[in-house]
Amino acid sequence: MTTLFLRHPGEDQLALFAGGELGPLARWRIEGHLNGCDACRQTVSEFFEVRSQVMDLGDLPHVDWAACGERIRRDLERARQEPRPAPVWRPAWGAAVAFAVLLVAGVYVARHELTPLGPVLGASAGGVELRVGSGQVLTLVHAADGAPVQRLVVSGAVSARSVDQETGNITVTNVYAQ
Amino acid sequence: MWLGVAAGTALAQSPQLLEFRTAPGAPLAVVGTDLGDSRVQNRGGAMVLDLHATVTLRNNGAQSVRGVTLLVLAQEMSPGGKGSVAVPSLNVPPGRNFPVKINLRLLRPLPAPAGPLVEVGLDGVLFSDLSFFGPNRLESRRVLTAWELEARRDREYFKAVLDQQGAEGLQREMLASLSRQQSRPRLDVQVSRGPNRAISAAVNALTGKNVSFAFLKLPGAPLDPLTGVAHVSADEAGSPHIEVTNRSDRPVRYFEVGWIVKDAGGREYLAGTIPPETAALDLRPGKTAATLQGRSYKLGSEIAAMSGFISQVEFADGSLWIPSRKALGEGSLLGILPASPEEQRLGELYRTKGLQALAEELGKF
Repeated sequence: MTTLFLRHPGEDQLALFAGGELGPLARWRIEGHLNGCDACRQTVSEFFEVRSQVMDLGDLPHVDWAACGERIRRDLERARQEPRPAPVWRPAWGAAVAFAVLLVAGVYVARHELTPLGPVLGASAGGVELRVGSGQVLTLVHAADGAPVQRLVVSGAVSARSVDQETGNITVTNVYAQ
Repeated sequence: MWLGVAAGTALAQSPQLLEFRTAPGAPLAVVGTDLGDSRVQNRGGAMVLDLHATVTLRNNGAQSVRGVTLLVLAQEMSPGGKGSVAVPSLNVPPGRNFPVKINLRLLRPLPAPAGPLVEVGLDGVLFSDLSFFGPNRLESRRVLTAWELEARRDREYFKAVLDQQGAEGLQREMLASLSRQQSRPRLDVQVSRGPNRAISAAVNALTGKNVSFAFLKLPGAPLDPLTGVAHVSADEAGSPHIEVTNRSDRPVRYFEVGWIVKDAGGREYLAGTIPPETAALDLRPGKTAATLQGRSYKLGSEIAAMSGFISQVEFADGSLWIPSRKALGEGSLLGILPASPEEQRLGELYRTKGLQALAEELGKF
């Protein structure tokens, strides 16, 4: 049995299946499940039994359908003749509100942090950082302790330059976006 | 040559963290490696490689080494998987050893490979006669040569000050330089490929504006900036589109435009430098070219105005043009641009060892 048929259908689904009320796809899925599930097969057979018992019941009690229909028609007619209040909402206002919402959202997006589409390299006081997603920041090059650090962005790379306190040499460390 | 470096205790899970690779016939030899407290950590689906290593190299060439670049590679295509370490402003005579420190954190996806986690290789070494050796994958020839030209320019400047104004004059210049380095306005910059935000293109069209560049024309620059514009929204900018024309009589294969932004308070910052649109540039005399597109920059300050200047030009024959010290001073760029690596080194020498040591150092060249 594939995983498609592993979950037990709900009782309502089984009842509709028993009544022949399901569409072809749902019917196929439940048939697939019933092939391997004794419990659901039992439930369906009980629904079949109840259904056949209902069908075996005698005629329904007498209802005056004509009088009932006439009453409904009168109610509808009365409702149609009563004055309707003027609509407060006009369709054009919907479009205006939708545009305003879009504009506000646009300004918000432009001025607030959203998840970047790709990795972002950055140079800050902490050193060279890689940002992935909305909150993950990994410092790739730490600012050297005490030594002044120069940072520079050149195309797809960020560089940090510092003086080695031990040797006095300059070291330039680059990290590339890719 | 391949040199495997055994892992320390912090690397029990990975027997080989780092491997150093040099090409056959390289004028530099690896004489020692120290992994220090380098370590590997698994974080999510990636390995974080925290490198604190020192590689000791020996100059086997016939000239003094002026600069070296090492490529440090954990994973070529992963974000944060590739780095490099360069040491400019060296003066290492033939036969002498020198250290290169690698303090860098890299990422590589799990699972760990069978081989080393990080490969370190020589990308290039520049000698005092400006000869170069190395695969040059990172354009180290140009970068190291530009640093060396800046070093010569700045040493000449400080030597001239010493000659003309004596020790007191040199002291004043060094103090001014250190003051500039400390007070230079710094900007937090983030750079990404393509649009930075999910809905930015549509939103920026509504909220942003096009800001034109003002250009500083430095004397002697082989290129003239013609026009420049960038779409700016608050503290974000798309790649500036800058057009330059070659007014020299030689073809150009690379240039950089320095990009300065001014905030609402009038403070100016160097945002970065912008390379040409294509890596295979062939800019003939009289022709125009544009700068690279497709990046987004988020700057730590609202952008009120922008300016640019030609900061570097490489001709087709490999020779380079950089701005003169005088041009930088006249263009008020000394307080905005970072000091050259050599000026930074000399300033540190003066700060830690004094005026006499600085004067002796200048006398070595």
